[in-house]
Amino acid sequence: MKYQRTLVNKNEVIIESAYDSVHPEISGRYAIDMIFSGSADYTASGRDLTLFSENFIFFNQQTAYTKRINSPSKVRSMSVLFDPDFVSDFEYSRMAKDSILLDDPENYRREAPVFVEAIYPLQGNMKFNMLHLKKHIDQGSTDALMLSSYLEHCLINYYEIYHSEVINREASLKFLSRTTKSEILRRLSIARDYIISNYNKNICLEDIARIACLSVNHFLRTFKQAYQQSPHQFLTSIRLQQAKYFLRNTDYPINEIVDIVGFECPSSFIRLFRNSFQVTPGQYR
Amino acid sequence: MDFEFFTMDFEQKYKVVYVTDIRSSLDFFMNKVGLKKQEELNIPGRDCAVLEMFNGDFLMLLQNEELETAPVVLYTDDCLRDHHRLKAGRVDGLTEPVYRADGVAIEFPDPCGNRFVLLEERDYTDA
Repeated sequence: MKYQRTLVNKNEVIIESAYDSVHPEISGRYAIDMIFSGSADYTASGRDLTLFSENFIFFNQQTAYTKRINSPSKVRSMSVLFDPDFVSDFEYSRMAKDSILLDDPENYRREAPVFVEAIYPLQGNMKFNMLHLKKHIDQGSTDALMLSSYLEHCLINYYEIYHSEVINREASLKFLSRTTKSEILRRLSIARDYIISNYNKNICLEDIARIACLSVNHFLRTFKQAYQQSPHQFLTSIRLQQAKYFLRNTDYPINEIVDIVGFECPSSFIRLFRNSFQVTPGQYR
Repeated sequence: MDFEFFTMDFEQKYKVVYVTDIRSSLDFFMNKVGLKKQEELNIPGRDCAVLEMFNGDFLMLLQNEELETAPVVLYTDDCLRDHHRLKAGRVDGLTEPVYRADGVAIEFPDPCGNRFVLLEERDYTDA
């Protein structure tokens, strides 16, 4: 087991490789937790979530969450814990006009931003930057200024993802009231996290709708408005993405991958994979 | 060109850049950018210096009366790290990292007036 904590000013980066570990009731800082291989279970705000490889989850500073790893294979993960002042300062410098920043540079201390907590795929610039950050820490870098610039870019990347996954999707909901839009998206986000956390199991629409506190019809209609696909299409896309991960990173036979990611039979998996990515799983591997 | 030039590893890439004052450019790339000098070459009538870039490729500075007409694109494996180094070296005219469709890039000038783009190419297909 490896557990490495690196302080970057008041922020912290934790790199862990473990088969079995428990970190109870973490709170007080904004957190971006990511899994490079394997999976970890989280409990937060009464929700049980599972974070699989190449995904990350975001927690607000006031959320208390527990992380558990219990796996026959080694789970490699990284947590980036942001000091609330660092995030508030980042938010303030991003939002406020230059003249206000010059006149009142300490104003960020007055309010801390609150985000919709959700699971997102670890991809694009966020993935590249976080892998660079991990590499520097693995190599023993203690240059706080350099590590801090990666943390700042982690927030830049997160804000971009948040804008496209939350702000834009909220706007695409067909409700007049902004409060209603926010509340519906928050519930849809809970449903989305449930699908991601249970992507390899047999889950039914009624269960997902119940978790989101929406009727089945209301859930189906609003999910499609927000994500431009049905919950079933979304579940299939998650299964295919995870299948891609296993094809790239393991030598498991395709039949086994089909079973792991929750498809019923290899033929439907191969057809869906080819339709989505224009190559067969074998060619992709 | 001397013998040593031909013994270099040609798996690595070379970028030839015209500079009007090779001494000040060499000083800039070694002391501000942080590149290591590989060697100085004897090319008749011209001074030439070879530097190793952060990603293992080589930058060849060649004394010339005219500068490059377009920005020179250099490649790196970690743009944020290099941006930090250049910022620590107080390089004037250094831009903040910009995310583009092909990766992340920064720009900076050398003392002769050449404009450099340092690009970390990123393949977003499966990432």
